[in-house]
Amino acid sequence: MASLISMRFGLLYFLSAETMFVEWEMFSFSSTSIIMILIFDWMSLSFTGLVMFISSMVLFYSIMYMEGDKFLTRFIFLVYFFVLSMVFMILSPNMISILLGWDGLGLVSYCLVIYYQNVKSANAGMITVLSNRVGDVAILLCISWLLNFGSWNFFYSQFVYSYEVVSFMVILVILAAMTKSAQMPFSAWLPAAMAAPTPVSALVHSSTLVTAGVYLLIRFNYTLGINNFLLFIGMLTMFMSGLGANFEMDLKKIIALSTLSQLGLMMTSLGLGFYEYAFFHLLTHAMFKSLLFLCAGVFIHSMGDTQDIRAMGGLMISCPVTSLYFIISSMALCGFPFLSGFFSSDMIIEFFFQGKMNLIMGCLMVLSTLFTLTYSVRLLYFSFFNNMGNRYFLSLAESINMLIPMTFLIFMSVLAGGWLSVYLFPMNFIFLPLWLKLLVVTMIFSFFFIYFFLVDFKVMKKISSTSGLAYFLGSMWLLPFISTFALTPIIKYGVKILNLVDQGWVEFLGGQGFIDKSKFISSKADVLNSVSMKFFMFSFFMGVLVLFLA
Amino acid sequence: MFFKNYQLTFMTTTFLGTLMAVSSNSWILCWIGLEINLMSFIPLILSDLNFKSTETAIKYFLTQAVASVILITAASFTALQMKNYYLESMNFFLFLALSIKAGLAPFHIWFPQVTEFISWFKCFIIFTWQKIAPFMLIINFNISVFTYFIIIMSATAGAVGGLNQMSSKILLTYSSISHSAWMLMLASLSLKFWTFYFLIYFFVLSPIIFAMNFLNFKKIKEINSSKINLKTKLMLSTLIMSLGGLPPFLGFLSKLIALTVAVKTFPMVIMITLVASSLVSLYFYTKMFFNSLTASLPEKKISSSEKKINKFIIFSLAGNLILSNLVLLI
Repeated sequence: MASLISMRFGLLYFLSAETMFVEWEMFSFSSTSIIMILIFDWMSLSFTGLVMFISSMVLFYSIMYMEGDKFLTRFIFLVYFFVLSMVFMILSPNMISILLGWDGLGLVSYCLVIYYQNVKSANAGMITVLSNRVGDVAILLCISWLLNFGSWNFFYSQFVYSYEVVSFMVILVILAAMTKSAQMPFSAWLPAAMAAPTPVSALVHSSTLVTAGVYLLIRFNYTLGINNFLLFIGMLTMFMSGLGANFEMDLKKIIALSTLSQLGLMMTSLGLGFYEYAFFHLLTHAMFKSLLFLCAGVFIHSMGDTQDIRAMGGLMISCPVTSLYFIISSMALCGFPFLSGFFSSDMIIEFFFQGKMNLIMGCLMVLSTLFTLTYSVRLLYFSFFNNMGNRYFLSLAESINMLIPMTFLIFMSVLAGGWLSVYLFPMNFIFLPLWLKLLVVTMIFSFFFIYFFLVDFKVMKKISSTSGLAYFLGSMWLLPFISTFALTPIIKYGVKILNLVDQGWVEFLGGQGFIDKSKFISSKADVLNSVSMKFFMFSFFMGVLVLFLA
Repeated sequence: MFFKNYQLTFMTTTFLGTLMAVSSNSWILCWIGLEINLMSFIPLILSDLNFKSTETAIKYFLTQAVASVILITAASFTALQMKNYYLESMNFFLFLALSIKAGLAPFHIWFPQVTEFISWFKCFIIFTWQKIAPFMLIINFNISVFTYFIIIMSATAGAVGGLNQMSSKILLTYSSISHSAWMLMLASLSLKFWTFYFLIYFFVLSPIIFAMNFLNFKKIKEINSSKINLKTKLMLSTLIMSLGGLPPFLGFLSKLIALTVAVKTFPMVIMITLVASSLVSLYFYTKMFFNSLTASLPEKKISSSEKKINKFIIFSLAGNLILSNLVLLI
């Protein structure tokens, strides 16, 4: 299908290192012309291939998952529009069409989040779209700033004569990517957006929407260079979300926080300048994360639509194939050797350790990788090894329609890492001391078993459920609270401005005031229509007579 | 039907008068042609058998007669001054007379009072045909300060005057005044541009008048009520928007070309005034049909008269919607 063609060409283009631009001149007006450009290089083609592959899998899956829904046509249309905007954004080299795709993504993801129409979805959708809106504003400002540089393409901004001039644009682009990819100050929306249906989460919130921000930064990599700010933000996000996922009780929120953690890893590698590795991690992460979401969807479906992990247990018996896929993709996420996650995330970590850094950065990186492992194992424990916590004695088995797309994905997620890494990065030279090299692998294997012992301790149970520390860490360091309630005074000020300005003197000068004055003038002008013609004629004739004689 | 059989006699002489005025060498012959036009239009007004038709005829006659007097006086003065070459000293008065004849502001007072009480077809003749002779004669003059004055006044009067009106004939009158401002701007440039604008105006206005005639719409309230089907409403609304000059329709093309052509010669203030007046007049165009499209009233079936209109309107709609976009694609 289209995804295979895209992928094949993408990889071919990488080898030949060529880029193809398709231009369509819309119209030219005196000396300027408005041209629509699409870029086809290896990054955009392989990413398009990935997006189409995952979205086709998700669509197959959602036919079974959403069956019985009255508005399935609407859902399919929304997913289709989402894919369209995403592909459009990937294939655009200039900010204006990126903005088109970006806005389309924001809008359609809002529609998809509020798909189940209840209060929680409404709130979630609102915070999603408003956070994304901040990024849209940043891109709009960036467009107007780029008018100084002669082109809206992202290639040309690296050649600008001095960095101070372009630094404002860099700030704006980073802001936009941060809001879209839910980095640290703006990460409140990603766990909240789990109110969307699970296929939507699989497509949107794991692989495509949140990676749009990272993709934008990858496109701007020549302008960004090595960026301290991105490094810090990415590291902070990684740490915070990894920590938060350990205390979270909602299945989809845990997976969302793990997405956030991997996004932080991508940002970190971008901050270090390794944009190709970030892109590679983007591709492979999309595969196994969407698979994780789809498995979670099967679990939720089989438990009667509850998402709480305390209600799960013994799922290996009712959904054996799905739990197999779940375990495999969790292992790929942690970086189990030679699954796809190993090739991408491990490579980033090793390159990270090769450079100079301070102790905190190193510790944070190690700890974040550790957290990846711990929340994955925690999830595995709660779903498979727990006592059966099912509230209702109901368990729907997995259906074959949901399994087929997942099978494709598992195939790709196991093998794609190896294939792509051999293809894209055939020569990698890593020079590390032995203990650093073995650190990650030993951590994975040891903590895997240690965690099962830890989780039974009474102390752990007491900490992890009720204490204040758990509340602080589990709710992402109180970010959702800050993003909503603490901003209320600002919103109240906005209401005041609305009453004073928008409905106040602006109305008087612009809309209503203008029409009132015009009507007044018009009614005064109409008076002449009722004046007798005789007077008018006479005065006119006299006037013309005077003009003649003068 | 549009016109009765007995109106044909004087219609021929009306057309004849205009043609004579347009194709003449001297001003006296122009005056003769315009007088023939005037004299044969009066019986057409009187043939309506309204209780106000006498008064309307008198108003029309008086205004146009004053204009003719000024015209013949100025023509005589130019003839007196002419020895070997043509002196342009009387051009101001000739222009003044012709603008009174065409109904440009500030000499537009008679226009709504006349059009209110005559039938739709005569309205159509006043809006289109009676403007041919004055504008074609204005082409001969140079641009002066008085031209600017009349353009700005007509634009303003056309836009502002229609805001408070209720009768659709008077709305079309004020729209004609503001279109005359555009036409004046183009006529000061050359014949080709004015012909283009005038033909488009004719083409856009005729289905509207046809529809109003058949559906018997005298006030805006009647258009806004739901006596007509949704299809007819949509067609009528697109035609009215085209008259107002909204972008993808044909009426916008004429204004766009007028602006691109005239921007080299005319000062910027005039362009801005014309465009602003276009914007304000869009308000009363929208008032004509907006309620019918947005209020939810029970739908009626298509009546037979609507079927006849629809067939006619569809052709003009095709022109309105497609033609302008085809031109822009070049």
